[in-house]
Amino acid sequence: MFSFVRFEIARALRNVKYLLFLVMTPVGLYLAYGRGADASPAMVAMAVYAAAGGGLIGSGGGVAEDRMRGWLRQLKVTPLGNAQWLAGKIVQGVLMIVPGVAGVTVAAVTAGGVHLPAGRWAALIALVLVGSLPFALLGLLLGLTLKGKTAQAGIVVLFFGLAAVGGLIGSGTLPGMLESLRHYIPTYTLAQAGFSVLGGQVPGAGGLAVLAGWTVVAAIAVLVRWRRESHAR
Amino acid sequence: MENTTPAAVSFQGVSKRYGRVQALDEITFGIARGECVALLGPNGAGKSTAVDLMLGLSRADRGRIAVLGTAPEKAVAAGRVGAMLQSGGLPADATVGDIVSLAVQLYGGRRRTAEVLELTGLTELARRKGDALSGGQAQRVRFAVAMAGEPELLFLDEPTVAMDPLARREFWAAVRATGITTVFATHYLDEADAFADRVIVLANGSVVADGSPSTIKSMTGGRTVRCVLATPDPTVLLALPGVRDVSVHGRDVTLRTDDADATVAALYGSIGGVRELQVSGADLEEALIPLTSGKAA
Repeated sequence: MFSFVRFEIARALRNVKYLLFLVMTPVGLYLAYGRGADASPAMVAMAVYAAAGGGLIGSGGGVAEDRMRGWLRQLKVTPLGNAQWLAGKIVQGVLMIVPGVAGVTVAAVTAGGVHLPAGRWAALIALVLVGSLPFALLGLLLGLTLKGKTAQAGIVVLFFGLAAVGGLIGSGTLPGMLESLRHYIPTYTLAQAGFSVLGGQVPGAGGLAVLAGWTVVAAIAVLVRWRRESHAR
Repeated sequence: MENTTPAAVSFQGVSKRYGRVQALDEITFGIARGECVALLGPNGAGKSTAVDLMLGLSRADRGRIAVLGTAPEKAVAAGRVGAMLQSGGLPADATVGDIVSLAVQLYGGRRRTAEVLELTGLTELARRKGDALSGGQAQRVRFAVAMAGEPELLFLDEPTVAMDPLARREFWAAVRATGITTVFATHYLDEADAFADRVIVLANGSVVADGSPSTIKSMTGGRTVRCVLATPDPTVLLALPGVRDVSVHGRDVTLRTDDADATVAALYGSIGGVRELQVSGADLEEALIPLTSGKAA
């Protein structure tokens, strides 16, 4: 499995467009808006942006193409088991957020002048890494469900939708129903949890439950989809 | 021996349906270890379905399939099988070296990556990306993946579809040099003829013929022997072994025969004065038309 994860990460790192999108965008947005009093919350918002984008695109983007090209079928006739494949893709999806989160963190420390106690840094980074799990699973689900370029487009649309509704880009309250709906959106709850950690508080149980719920539902959907993929032509 | 070493592949009454299409209809055959067997038939005959079943990629509706004495998916999981799939694309953003190295590790590192690259003639292409390869080069990478675990059994689905004739010959020389039991699906009839020890002909999901390439040929059509004789006598010629039909124009003789070797031997042995002898025709393609057209959709 480790060789498979390593292979997948090497592939993703070769993809320059991917790196530009996942590192430059959150870092650029941070440098544009994350100065002064907003330096710390903007850092959290952009780290969540990087986590959601890295998770969704990192694990899902290539799956649809691999499926279309027949590479998944080729992998299935090697000793790599279905469960190992899935675990590998999830680990890879979570690891792929590291460049973006690291980029935002470096920008926050150098340009934003953010200073936090070491324990709080550790808690924030751990939160964002674990919190990227539902996004990695959602990306995988889309990659296994949609075809080729449609999947790529679907993932990007979902990502910007989640980023906007989650309040990562843009600010203030949302109109009508959306404002109450956003409390069930993983980008929003992950960002809120991040703000709590930033303020030295334990994140609210409700928000964490929403994240856990998304993770479980997405994992089940991926497993069901993957099983069908294994036997279907 | 035969009791202790299970067959490489065994299909017993295997059926598989996709929607309304009966892809395979109660087919039965066995492939012994050491054989190189072609699954031959037109598109839609059931070749790829059979290969998918042998690899555990899909399940039979009915019947029993064993690969190396166990269930197909178990043989695959144990890394005992190497496969080249017809649609087995390569990732665009990985190099040839990455792909082969991954395959070597997935099969538990039984070989070294450099060795597999060398074996498949890919050493110089190791740094090339998956989407920067010619069709023939990509097929060689797929072959390297199939060979990475020193398999006991190779499945090749339309392996030379993107290759020119030279690349095709080189590919088969490499396959035969491994000495591994090989099952390949093809609709290139000359390929089955030239490289298989045995040909299983599929049409509309059934086995319509099973034998050596020359047996398949002799089942229909036979061969044509042409020669020039000083004084050809049709009655004598028709009595030669294997001969089914004789036509004589002056001194030019054309014989249709089921056994060209015996006919030619008899020509030289009992008639003599044979000049300009040619044995031709009834290649596998010709032989297959009556076999596969019976129920053609």
